[in-house]
Amino acid sequence: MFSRLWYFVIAAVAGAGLAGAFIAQSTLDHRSEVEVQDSLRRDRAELELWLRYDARARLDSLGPMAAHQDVRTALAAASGGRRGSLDADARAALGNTLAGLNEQLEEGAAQLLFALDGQGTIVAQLGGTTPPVGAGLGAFPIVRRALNGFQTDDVLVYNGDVYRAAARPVVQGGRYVGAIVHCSEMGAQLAQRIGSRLSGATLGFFFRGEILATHSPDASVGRAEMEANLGSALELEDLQENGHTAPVEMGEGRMAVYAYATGSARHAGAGYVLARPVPLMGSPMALFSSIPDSVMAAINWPLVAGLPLLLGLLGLLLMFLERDRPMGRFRTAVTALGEGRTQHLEEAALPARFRKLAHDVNEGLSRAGAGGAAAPKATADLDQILGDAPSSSSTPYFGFAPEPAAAPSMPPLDGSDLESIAPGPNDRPTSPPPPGAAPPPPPTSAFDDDDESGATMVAAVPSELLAASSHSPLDRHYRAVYDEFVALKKKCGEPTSGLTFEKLLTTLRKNAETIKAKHNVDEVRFTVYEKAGKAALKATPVKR
Amino acid sequence: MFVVFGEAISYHPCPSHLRLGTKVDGMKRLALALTLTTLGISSTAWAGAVRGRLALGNQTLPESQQAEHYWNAWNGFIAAGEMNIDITRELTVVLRGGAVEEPVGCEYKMSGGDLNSRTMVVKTGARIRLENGDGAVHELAIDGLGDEGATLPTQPGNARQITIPAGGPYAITDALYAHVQGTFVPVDDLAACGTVEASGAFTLPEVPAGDYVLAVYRNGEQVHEQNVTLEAGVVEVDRISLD
Repeated sequence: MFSRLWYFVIAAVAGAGLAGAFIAQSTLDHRSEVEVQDSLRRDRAELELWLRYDARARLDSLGPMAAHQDVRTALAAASGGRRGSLDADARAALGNTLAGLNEQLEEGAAQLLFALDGQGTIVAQLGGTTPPVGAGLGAFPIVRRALNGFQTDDVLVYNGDVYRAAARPVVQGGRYVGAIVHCSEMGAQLAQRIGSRLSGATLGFFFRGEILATHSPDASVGRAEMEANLGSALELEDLQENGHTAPVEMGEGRMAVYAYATGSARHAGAGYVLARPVPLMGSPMALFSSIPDSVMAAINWPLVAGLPLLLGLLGLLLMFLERDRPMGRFRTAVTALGEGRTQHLEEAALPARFRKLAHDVNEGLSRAGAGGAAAPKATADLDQILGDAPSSSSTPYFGFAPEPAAAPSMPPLDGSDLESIAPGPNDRPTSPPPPGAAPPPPPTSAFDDDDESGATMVAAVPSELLAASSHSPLDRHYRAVYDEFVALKKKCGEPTSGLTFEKLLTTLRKNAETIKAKHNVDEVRFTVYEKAGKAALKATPVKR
Repeated sequence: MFVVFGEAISYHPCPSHLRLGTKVDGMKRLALALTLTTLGISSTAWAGAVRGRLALGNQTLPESQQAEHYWNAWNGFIAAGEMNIDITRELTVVLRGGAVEEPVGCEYKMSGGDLNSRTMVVKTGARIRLENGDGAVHELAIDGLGDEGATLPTQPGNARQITIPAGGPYAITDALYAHVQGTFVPVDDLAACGTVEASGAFTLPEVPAGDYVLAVYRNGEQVHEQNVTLEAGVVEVDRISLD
């Protein structure tokens, strides 16, 4: 029972362990996702701060340019007329001045630079395509703010490119005479400059459905991957309503946050994306590969390895005690039976679970013996023990009569080996065969219990045997029978070598079990008598 | 054209601009007068320009036209200007009526980064040529015109041609710039379109004499109209308040 319970315990523990591994893996994966989401939110806040700082830095760098005397003079002259009266030479000179000043900005140099008069008309331009005569930027929000005296920034699209713009007013003679607009392209350089400050995150700038530039610290998120997911991200409701999204899934094992640029270009669909890989376990087995060495060293290995080993050994012990050892004993008994060392299986000596099996085996053997197949062997064994069986006119048998057990005497012997006391309903009469009749066949067993051979009755146990009872009456009885049987054989001149108590005991027990089972009695007693000059044994069922 | 004997006073404009500043003898005067009278009868009589002033109460630039930004700090030297609407683009003054077949002065374009007039009053069915006078590409779209109004990029120096049917008004937007917003208003009897100065002063070009309706439009809607009779000389209209 305990071993069966142990199987259940082992299965439950294994199931719990497996469930625990999956739960641990899922929990760790979920925690990784939450951490990456938090990281992306921080990344976006940090990026906004860097963009704000970048705008401020460019505004500050424009100060010398906007305050340059040549610039102020030229723009004042251009603003003096109705539509900016500055001849070509003056415009060229202004352009050269601006080029030199822009070059001094080094890394902060503009890719596109405008000098505008008081109406926003382009007086000089660095970079980009040459504008038509009279073209201007006066209606652009950043220019309007600058022409009204504000240092301001914006993100705008100009001829297909996205620029981060900074503008400063130009003052001359106590009035605003124009503005300088500094445009830095939102490309690889800006992505690298700002993206390198975001540890572990990949930064990408996009314009409509196209990625303009990316910067990835360890190539964990590729540009193609960003572009593949950009289309669906641009349709997110969060992005349309709030200008940015919460962290969302981007492909397999990635999360990203999308945002439109802070400026005019939001209307045109320009913005940025921040992405991070999500470290997922993938399977419970990955738990073991991700355990840090310090954690491994801190594990109580004697407990972790020793306890399961101890419990396993306990399980093996229980299995041995409950299954293997009883099975071994049964196997030994069956082997002895098969080798002929025993005539039947000792049910009382076997474990309880095998007693029914033993009983069934013994029953089978008994039936086989009654059918004659096993009889010669049993007869030979008995003859070897008891000597030649005397001829008898009747087949010896065991049986008992319906008379009460208080019958005072044992049936007389009249030449039959063993006789019944009184005939039963199915018993054959015990009278000797008529003269001239063929003699009955020799008895096959001194302990034949065939009911059909005659009536039987339960005889009373001889008082001398009962009087001799002590602490182990059955053993003493068997011993007494053996002693008496050997003594009678000697008296009759029969050989007794080879007749041991153990052999006789085995035979007595076997027959006792058979008789008890057949007649439903609790005890069988044996008596020794002389029959035809030879020692014989008689079995009598006793019903208490 | 009016001719005064003895001293002809020219009165521009005139298909045949005649100015007589010298006296002549009687026979020559008579011949000249007969000739000029004949010529005068056979030519169309043109009225002078119409001028006036528009007064707009609230000129604060709406927030929808102000873009986001990180910084907008006053430079600290000179008082900052007001972020007001641009009246020159915000208001459109036109003349309707008369017998003008081809409207005068109704030319619309992109300049300074925006439409030169947010309300573009056009003659119904007219083929409009909208030129891009900026240095940047504009991607204009006109609602309600189907494929003809689809978003199309117009390169600097190029023009987009659009036929404005009856109905409307038709909103025009720019896919690249949120501040570019306008409306086409088709009018059957459009005669002339004027220009508005930053001060609110407006001028309508010369048109044939006759009775007209002077109308002011803003954000695609007519906000003022008045009847004017144009004869000779510049017509000054009273100050028009658009509160």
